[in-house]
Amino acid sequence: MVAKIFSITPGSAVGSITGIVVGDATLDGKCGSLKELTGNPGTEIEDTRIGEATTQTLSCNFAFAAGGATSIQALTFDGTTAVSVTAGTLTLSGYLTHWEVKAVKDDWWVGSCTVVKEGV
Amino acid sequence: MATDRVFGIGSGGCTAITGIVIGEATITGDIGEVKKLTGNPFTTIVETRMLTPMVRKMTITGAYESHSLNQALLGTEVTLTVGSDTTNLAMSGVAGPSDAIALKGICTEWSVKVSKGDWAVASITVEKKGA
Repeated sequence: MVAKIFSITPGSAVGSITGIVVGDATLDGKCGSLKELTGNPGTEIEDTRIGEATTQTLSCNFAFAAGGATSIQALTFDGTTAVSVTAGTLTLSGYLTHWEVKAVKDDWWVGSCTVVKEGV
Repeated sequence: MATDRVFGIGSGGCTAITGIVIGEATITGDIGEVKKLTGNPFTTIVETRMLTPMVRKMTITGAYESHSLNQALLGTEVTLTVGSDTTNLAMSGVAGPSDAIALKGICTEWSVKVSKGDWAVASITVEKKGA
């Protein structure tokens, strides 16, 4: 039996923030709106095209070293600037839509971020 | 030697809550509304503009000694800060790594919760729009 993919490889990064330990990451791909041509009679789909652009989204949660929270808080949004995120074997370069830092009294701080790439 | 990661909570709080023992704190940043121009063919994005500004929010929650959370505080500017716990020894054998989250913004909500047989808990949220 071929071994299945397991866990997360080292070497992850969010932009210039390295030395992170990724807890989980999710890469999603979605087609935009679909344009469908119904045939005659109108009970079947004759043809399908992608309408609005496809969207890929990568979100990840991670522990980080000193200065990580400061770096995350410095991230700004312009809707275009590409931020490269690598979470194990998942990678996506897209614009930033969300970041988060959570501090808990008796646990590691957790940073989160989401980048989106639209179109091809 | 492994890299030391940021852990726990050290000092921090806000002036409206005295003697707070912060249990957890979260800061978020979110992109504002984005307007996209699709190209030809329209499976690509030609240009993107921001319509509404980015929004940052921060919330702290914890036990406390006293507070001045009242109606007058809502809508005013409050600063929240939380630093990491640097007193615990990290894997390297030295003090834990230092980092902090902070936001000076408009107080949008607060809450005080009392429970029988448990510590009372206060929470405050501030919000800042734009860079």
